Amino acid sequence: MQPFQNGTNVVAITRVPRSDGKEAMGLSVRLDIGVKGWQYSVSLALVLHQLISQQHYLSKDVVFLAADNGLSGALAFVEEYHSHLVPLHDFPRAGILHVMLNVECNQARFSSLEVQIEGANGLLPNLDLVNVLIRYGELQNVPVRLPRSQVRVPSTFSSDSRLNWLTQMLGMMARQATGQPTNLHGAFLEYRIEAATLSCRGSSTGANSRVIAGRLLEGTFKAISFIHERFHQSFFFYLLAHEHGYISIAMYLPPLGLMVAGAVVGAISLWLSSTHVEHAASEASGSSSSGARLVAFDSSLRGCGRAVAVLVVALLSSVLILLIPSSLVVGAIEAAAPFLSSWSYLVSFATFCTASGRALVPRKSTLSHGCTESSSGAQRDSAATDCQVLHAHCFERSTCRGGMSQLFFSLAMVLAIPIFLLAALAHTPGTSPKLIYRIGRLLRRVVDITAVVLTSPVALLLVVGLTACLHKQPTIFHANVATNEGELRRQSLPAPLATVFAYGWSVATSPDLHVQVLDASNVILHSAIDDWQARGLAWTWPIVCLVYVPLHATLSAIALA
Amino acid sequence: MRLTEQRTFAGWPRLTIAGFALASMLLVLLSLSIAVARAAPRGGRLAADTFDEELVLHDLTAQESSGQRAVAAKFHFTLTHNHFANEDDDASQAGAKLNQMRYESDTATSTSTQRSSQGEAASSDALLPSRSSDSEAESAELVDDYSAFPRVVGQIAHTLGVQSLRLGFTQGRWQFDNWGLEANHSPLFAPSAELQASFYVSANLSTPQQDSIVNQRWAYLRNALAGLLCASLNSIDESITHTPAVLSHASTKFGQDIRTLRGVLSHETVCTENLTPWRKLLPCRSQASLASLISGIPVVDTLYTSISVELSTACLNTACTQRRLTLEQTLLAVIDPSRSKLFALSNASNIRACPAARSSIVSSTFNVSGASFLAKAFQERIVVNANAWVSLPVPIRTQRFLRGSVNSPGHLVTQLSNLDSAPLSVLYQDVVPWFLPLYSYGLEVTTYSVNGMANLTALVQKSIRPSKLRGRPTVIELSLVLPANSTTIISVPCDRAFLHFTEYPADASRGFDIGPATIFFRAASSSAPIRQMHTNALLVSLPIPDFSMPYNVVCMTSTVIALAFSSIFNATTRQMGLKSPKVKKGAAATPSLGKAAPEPPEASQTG
Repeated sequence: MQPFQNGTNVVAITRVPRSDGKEAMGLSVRLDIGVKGWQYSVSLALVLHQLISQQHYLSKDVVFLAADNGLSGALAFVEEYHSHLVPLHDFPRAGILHVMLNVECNQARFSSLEVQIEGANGLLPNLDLVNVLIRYGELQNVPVRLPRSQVRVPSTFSSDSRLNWLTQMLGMMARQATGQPTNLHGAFLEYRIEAATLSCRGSSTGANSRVIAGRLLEGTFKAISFIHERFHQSFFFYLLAHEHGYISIAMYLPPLGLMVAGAVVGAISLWLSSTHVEHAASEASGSSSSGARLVAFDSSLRGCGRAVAVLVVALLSSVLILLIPSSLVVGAIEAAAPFLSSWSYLVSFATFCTASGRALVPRKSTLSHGCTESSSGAQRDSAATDCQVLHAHCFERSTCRGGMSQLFFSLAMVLAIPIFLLAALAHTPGTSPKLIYRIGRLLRRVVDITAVVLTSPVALLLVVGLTACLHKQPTIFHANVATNEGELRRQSLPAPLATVFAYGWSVATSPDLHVQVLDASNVILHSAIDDWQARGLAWTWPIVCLVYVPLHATLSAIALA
Repeated sequence: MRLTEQRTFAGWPRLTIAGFALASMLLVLLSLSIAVARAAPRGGRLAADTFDEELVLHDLTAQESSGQRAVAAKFHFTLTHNHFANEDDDASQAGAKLNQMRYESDTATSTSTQRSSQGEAASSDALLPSRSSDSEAESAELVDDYSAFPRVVGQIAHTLGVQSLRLGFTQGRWQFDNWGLEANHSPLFAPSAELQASFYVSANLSTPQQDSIVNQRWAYLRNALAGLLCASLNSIDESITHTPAVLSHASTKFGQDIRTLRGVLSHETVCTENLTPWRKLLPCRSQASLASLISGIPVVDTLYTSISVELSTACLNTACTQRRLTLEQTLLAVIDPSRSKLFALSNASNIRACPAARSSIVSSTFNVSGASFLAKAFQERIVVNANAWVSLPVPIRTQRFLRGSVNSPGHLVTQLSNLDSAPLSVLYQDVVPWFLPLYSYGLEVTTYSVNGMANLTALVQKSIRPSKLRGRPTVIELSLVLPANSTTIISVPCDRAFLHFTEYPADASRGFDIGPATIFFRAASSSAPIRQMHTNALLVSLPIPDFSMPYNVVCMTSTVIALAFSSIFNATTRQMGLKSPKVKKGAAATPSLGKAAPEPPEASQTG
């Protein structure tokens, strides 16, 4: 898009007689004069305008917008409509705009209509609007479809197969990840106006004439007009796999939550374990002069292997579930669908508890190992209990909780320092704006890529897997207690790296976490995790985590370039 | 033995049934006789009570084909009655009267009871007999004087000391550009529902006392009218009630101050449920008279419908002991002939004149075809009168909107365009509820001429009464002189309040209604009558918590997790173990006497 474009929008407002003029809905078309077939959608809009202005059953005014220059025209209109500036001319207004429908029908006849919904930065309209369009299309016998994805599914699969659903979903993810609005409606979405585009698809000798499209639009307007409140049910985050099937936020958010929770919990566990071990061992080394190098993390090849096994099983099961004919498995899964969302909450909760249990339970093996290594003979028992007492002590100390703030502070500083420097540079006289722009762009890329890398589970698992496999005892987690005898010294951790590792760690070792949990909640958590691995979410997690994030990374990298 | 018992038991129900039947017959007879007695004319009394009706038909546009027709039905009552001058003078008495009506004010119950107790303590002996005589007089009047005049309205006016009352319900949008400024000589009501009332209050009382009395009466009035006309007028609460400065000059008559209050309820859907009780106020209901032309559903199916009740009191003598109550009920409808016929409003089959009506006039500004049934019913009363309806040109075009995007502070803007080639003097009155706090320091009035020059001045005088949180509204009154062919923009910065969660209505996602601004105007250099018009009302989205299900689930789950976390965390991280040997050492240092066996180690919490 060029920075400045001149154009002329055409706006007409039908004041519906019996309404009070407080609310409105609208229809927009492109005014791309010169584009082949532009007059078809404009004439459709004009006819609708004429029809609607003769009726008086509507309760909301209707705005007609012919947007010059496509998206920029629509943006100009919607910005002016909500502008903070004093208008110098009579700008037509019609109260709160609830819904805008955009029509793109550059042919006389069509075979099907396509609903485009993705706005800038992946914004979506309320799902109810999409549902109204699709359902009303069914009533009118017009096929209203989602955009076909670019991935071609072999024709051996029926159009209703799971593979098709998957490609559909991936296509939507890809369109969202580009961050570009797919059509004019993107302009309205940014101002909380629910909007979607209906495009005519198929050959110009298709089965349906534009009259049917007009009927569909008129019916949709009627439906919207009768809505008392604006669309407010929280269907703003969804992935459409099918015209009638969507993956709600309740399904895809828990894995993301787990990723974040894992990072936090892992970071806490890192900090606590390093301090505790140091603490305990420094006490212990008071009695025994031999210096001890203790390993904070009980990392082993076994844990690494388990992580890989879980991953492989999850991936395989997801692929299996997708490829098995739907009649066999899908029925069972769909029967369990109502339970899945509550299930995902339970699982995230359970995993969080186990992870925190793992992280915060004083690890007996490590401690007793440390204590027994450093003590001998008759002193062994008392030293062991000393370790435990010290632990109890440490839990009560306020300094024990300083680690998290330190972690976040260092993270914030890492991000803030370059920005601060850039700001300082920008205020230095004599610096060329071009340089600042370049540095800013570089910085943004670095931040973007870091964010992508940090959030990508593949990257994390790779790092963790490599570290865990290559270094059985990762050196950076060593608590060097031999240096200062009897003095408490907290070892500072490189924060972002710790987060990365902590995350990977909690993911990689989560399968055997429940073993560490004490008896009180063991039964519940144990069964929860076992079931989690066996059932429903096994295919959701890898798909969302492993596909969406790298896809986002790639596409945002492309967009940046 | 058994048989006799059965017989006796079987006899009782029959007796009781017979008794009930007899009693119900008696009741029916009694009520019939009462009804007959009430319906019987009261001879000389009827002269004090008149009822006239008038129907005006008007073609709003010149073209016959697509012209919209306006129908205005006006029902006019007068009632002359004696009024006792010492009524409703005293605060205590007003309070007592309200209590007598078994009404408890939702706003000021405590103050009213306090006040009445004080008043009674001061002059209990003097007041009690007069009150009883009042109620006698009142009941006598209620029984005797009313024949055509709706007694309910009279009762309300009498009890509350109403000097004047304007109540209008409106559905639809008046098209000023096409239909003119006013409908049939009377100013239009604000969209949805508008209520304005003036009360007589004793001038001897202090202003706070007067305020308290007026607020009580206002509360009673809107509740009474809400019940009477089946509308939610009771929700015209403190937050949208104001005293219109321009109309309520602090006038004092016969030792009585007149206090005016006004409120606009801008989201009241007007439908047959309001029309039916409105028709019931008429003496012949909808069985006869011109009101039988008005049937429910066709009236609602018009382009514009307005139902109003206007009441006024006039004094007939200097002491104001004799008063005349005037009541005007008006229905105004605009019909689109392309959709419905002119008299599709009616079921025209059997229309009779109402015997209680002194006159029934049907006048039309055009030739009504197919109105022969009217002629049959009303004989010579139909007049074709081209002057029955005067449409005035509209010199001002208004637009009102909220600038700024949905969830940010913005500006409340009203745009007034003077289309006339002469300057207009205007009083702009805006009432904005407290939940849209206005920053009056930022009030800007900018005037542009048609050719874009912005250096004109329009503002003459301004008065701003700021709102109180959860209380009265902001009232802005600006006196302006709009230059010829110019546009004036009144802009006030505003915020969006975040309410308590109990303050949100059930349809919070719809938005919050802000009533229209009212504009009083006349040509600047003339003494022409002051005209009045309203801007459009507004809907404002305030920040609302997400009341929908998924977020509630998320919130609740998070709460449960937060509550459960600490206990589960405690349970999972606590470790049971032996007491520390150090502690034990200390314990062992003190000799444990009198115990044969060593104490078993206590379990303690150390983890």
